[in-house]
Amino acid sequence: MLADELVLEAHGLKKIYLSGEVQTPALRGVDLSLGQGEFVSVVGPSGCGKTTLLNLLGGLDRPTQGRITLDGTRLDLASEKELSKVRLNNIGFVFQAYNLFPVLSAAENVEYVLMLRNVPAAERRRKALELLGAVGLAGMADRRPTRLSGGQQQRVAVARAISTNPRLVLADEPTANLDSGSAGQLLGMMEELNRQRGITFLFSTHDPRVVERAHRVVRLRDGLVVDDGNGNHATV
Amino acid sequence: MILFKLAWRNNWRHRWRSGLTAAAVVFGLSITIWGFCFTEGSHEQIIRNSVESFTGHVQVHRKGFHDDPSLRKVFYPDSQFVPELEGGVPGLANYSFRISTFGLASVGETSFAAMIVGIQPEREQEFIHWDRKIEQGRYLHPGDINGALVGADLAENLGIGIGDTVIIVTQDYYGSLCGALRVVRGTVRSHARELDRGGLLISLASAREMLSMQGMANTAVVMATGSEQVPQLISELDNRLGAGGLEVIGWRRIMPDIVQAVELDNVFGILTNLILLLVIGFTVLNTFLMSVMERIREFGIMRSLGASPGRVVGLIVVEAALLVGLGFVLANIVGIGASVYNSVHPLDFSEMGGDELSKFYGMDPRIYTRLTWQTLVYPNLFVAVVILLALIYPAWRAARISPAEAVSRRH
Amino acid sequence: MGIFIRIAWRNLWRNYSRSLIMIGGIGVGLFGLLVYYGISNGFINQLVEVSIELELGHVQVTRRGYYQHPVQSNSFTPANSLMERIESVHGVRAAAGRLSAAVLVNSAEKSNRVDLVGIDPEREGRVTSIRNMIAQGEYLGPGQDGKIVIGRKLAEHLGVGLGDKLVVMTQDSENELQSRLFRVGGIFETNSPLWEKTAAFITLRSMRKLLGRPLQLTAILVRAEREKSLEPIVAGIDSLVTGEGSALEVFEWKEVSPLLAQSIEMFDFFVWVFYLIIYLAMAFGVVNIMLMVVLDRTRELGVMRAIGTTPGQVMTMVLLEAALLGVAGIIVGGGAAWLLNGYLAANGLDLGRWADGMEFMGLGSVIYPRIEPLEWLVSFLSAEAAVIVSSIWPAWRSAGIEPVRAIQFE
Ligand SMILES: Nc1ncnc2c1ncn2[C@@H]1O[C@H](COP(=O)(O)OP(=O)(O)OP(=O)(O)O)[C@@H](O)[C@H]1O
Ligand SMILES: [Mg+2]
Repeated sequence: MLADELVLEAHGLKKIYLSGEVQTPALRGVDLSLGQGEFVSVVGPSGCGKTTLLNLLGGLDRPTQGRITLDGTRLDLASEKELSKVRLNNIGFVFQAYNLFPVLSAAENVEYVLMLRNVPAAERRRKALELLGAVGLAGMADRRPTRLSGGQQQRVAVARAISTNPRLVLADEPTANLDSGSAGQLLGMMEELNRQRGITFLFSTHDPRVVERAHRVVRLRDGLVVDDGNGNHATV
Repeated sequence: MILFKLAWRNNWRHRWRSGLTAAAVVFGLSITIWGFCFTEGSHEQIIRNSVESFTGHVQVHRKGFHDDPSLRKVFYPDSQFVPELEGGVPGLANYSFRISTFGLASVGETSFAAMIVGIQPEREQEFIHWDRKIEQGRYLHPGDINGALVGADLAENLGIGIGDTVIIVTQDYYGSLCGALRVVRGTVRSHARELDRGGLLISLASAREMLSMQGMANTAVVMATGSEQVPQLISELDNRLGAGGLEVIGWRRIMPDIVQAVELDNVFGILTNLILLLVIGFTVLNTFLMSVMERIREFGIMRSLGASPGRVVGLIVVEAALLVGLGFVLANIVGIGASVYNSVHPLDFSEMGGDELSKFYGMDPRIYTRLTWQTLVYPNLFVAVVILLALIYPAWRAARISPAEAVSRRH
Repeated sequence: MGIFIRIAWRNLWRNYSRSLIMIGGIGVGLFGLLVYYGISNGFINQLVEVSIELELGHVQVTRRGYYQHPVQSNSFTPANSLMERIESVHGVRAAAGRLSAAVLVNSAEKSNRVDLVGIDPEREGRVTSIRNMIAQGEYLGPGQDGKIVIGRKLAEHLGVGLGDKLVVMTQDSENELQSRLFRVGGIFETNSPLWEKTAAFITLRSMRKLLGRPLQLTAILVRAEREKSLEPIVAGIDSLVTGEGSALEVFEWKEVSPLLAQSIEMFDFFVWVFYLIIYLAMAFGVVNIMLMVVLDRTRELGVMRAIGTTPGQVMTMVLLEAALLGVAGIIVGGGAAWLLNGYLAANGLDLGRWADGMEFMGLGSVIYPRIEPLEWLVSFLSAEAAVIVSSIWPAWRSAGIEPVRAIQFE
């Protein structure tokens, strides 16, 4: 494990949502560093800011204050275009609601991202099949999402997320819609990918059985990190 | 009331879609209203130009003259016409007598074949207002046996000037060659095609003399007090004159060509506007179908709470009525506003180089729109029908929603 | 790009009733436009054809000022072999001289004004199609100086038939009244009632004798090999006749007939306005539908953005979907118009009910709609462009969808 090489570093992250006059502070100064190859879970009660944190780290949203450095790029300063590029090349996303494209087959969902990276067509198909094999869906490449179970859909989502060889995969409650069997399989598969390919995983969850599998657990409460796990403590 | 509130909020929920749909209705309907007013204005102008500037509302001839004109088919106004009108005819404003024929006319080196019309200058002045149609020179003075007026286009083509002498040669009542010398007093622009391009007006007295037709005429031009009075005037005149071997015809028969051209233009106008409205209809259909489809759950729940299918359809219809009603009101304001504006400030096609064309059609190149109840009612009716058609399927679809379908379909 | 097209294509079938409505709207609009265009074009072509085929030819040579004052004294005497030299100009098929005058024609009982044209029967046959229009009797032969050919309508009006006598009255070059007897040798029928009523033909030789202008012509009509690009021919002939003491001028048919030119202009204008209105009406529908497409798919588009799709790519995808719908609408509407237009072009659109009205407009009552291949193409492309342009705004909005939308619970 190359824990000393940092993939992501966040400092003093604050996020305040404005809805009309009402200000909701979702994050109130979070520091977090992720090293290469880590397998980290973010936990905390509902509304503590897990989703908000992952959105900021993935460049889906911008912090109200603070710095985020991903692979040397300052996400808090990056332009929309640069963020698109970072999301495409450096990060993979797995969503709670799977969010596959319903008009595309499993393989095409994976190919889509490869196409965005201008991978030639033949190469794309080969790679997509290989990845689907890796997540245990070898025979289902040509099925549309509506003909896959939740667990299968989420595995396609994982295959899609890792298809561009990202340094970091962010997953917001990836198992929330899955039964415990599928959830365990998904976690096992993610662990496998973490081990074999050295991809850094950061996932949020409520499920204690999922938390168990994490190598490091970051605990959030009321928008603050209360425990950074594994002694890699954030200086508060 | 709650139905209205619900309907209004549903429309408001999709502001963009509702706004675009209402805007589409406004666009289609206001253009159609304006278009109808424009067409009506131009048609009315063509007809009025022709009626008021030359043909009159009604003409009376010897029976058979209209279908197969000949100089020998004449009548004697003093014995056959005037006495029969004694006591006054309701709806009749004025009349005068004419003799028309064809002849060869020459001015200087050029000769041309002309429609020669003998008119009663003083009488016709009262209702045709010839003096207003004089482009150059002057109108015929009373008793001016030697004067002539020439169609403006004819004068222009042949280079005829005021004071030129015209030699007229033609066949007289008995078929023998006859001739006369006349002096051009003025040129007329009447907007009646045959007159402007080839007409020569002289006095009735001089025509009678030249053609050996003392006391005769072949046409009586009759003006009604208003165009609405024409049908009644025709039958009244027919009662009085028919027995004496005379034939009374209205302007519709005098100029079937113009009447038909107008009719044909109306057909094309309706068809083209219908295409426009159908395109708009698809937008309306889309909006309402989508508004039904995305609320299948909602309607299903309404049904499971005990609402009848009619209730659901009612909601859709009220929603549509609110939205489209707004469109109708705005469209009528815009359409009527534009039409009224252009009825005062005409569209001028002369800048587009439309002068030859308007001359050909006997029109003024400036076209005034004309708002009548038809130009208002028909477009509104067409749009209403198109929208009703567009509502059928969404309403039917909404009526068929069952509580079960609503639950099984996850959105 | 391929996958974007695939996505756009499959998206069409997700909500097929919405797609069908959009296709229907575009289809109906385009169908109406094309049918209207075909008929308008049919009107114009008839006017043009009648003018070219009977009255004007493609190019005319006249004495300067003749068309301002079309009178017989404005005639000219062509130089020797001028006709042959004109025919040797590149692109010219044939030329024929005419001598015309407005005359009075009398039958036993009636008279009418007529544009009498003296023609060289043999040359005229190569330039205009009067020869082909003879419905009864025969066309003028070279020696038939006592024959007159008149239109069906005129014959009816004057109450004469083949072999009947007509007296032509006119003024000659000495301003003397001339009247001469002719016999009806042929009766022609055309698609132009106006022309049928007012035109009559005799041989050039007898016309010259009648008017006392033994060598003169009022016009030389020229027929080109091809209708388009007449400028070089006009220029070529112009350079020939400038040697004639420049008393002559050369015109294209369009310049000679301002009425025709304005009719074309006016029809073009109305067609243009109609296209504009229909495309705007279509735009309301397209914007409406594409906006719904975008709103429905906010989440999906957010995911696309989240995993690295650029705003431009999202926009492209939405535009592609609209473009595909546009193509489908064009196939439907254009196809239907193509069938109807083809049928009417072959069988004619019979407006006989309004024959008098058509005559008032200078037209025969059967219209043959016509749309040139290029005009089909331009209509299709402009309709597609209208659809795409109308979709720009919804597509622009789709590009602005924020990637966080992908995560937000609905
Ligand atoms: N778009 C938003 N506008 C306003 N407030 C928001 C928004 N999104 C989140 N919040 C608020 O920010 C706080 C943190 O929300 P967040 O979604 O990050 O919590 P979470 O830890 O993911 O919760 P859960 O476990 O329920 O998913 C909450 O109080 C929430 O109400
Ligand atoms: Mg959350």
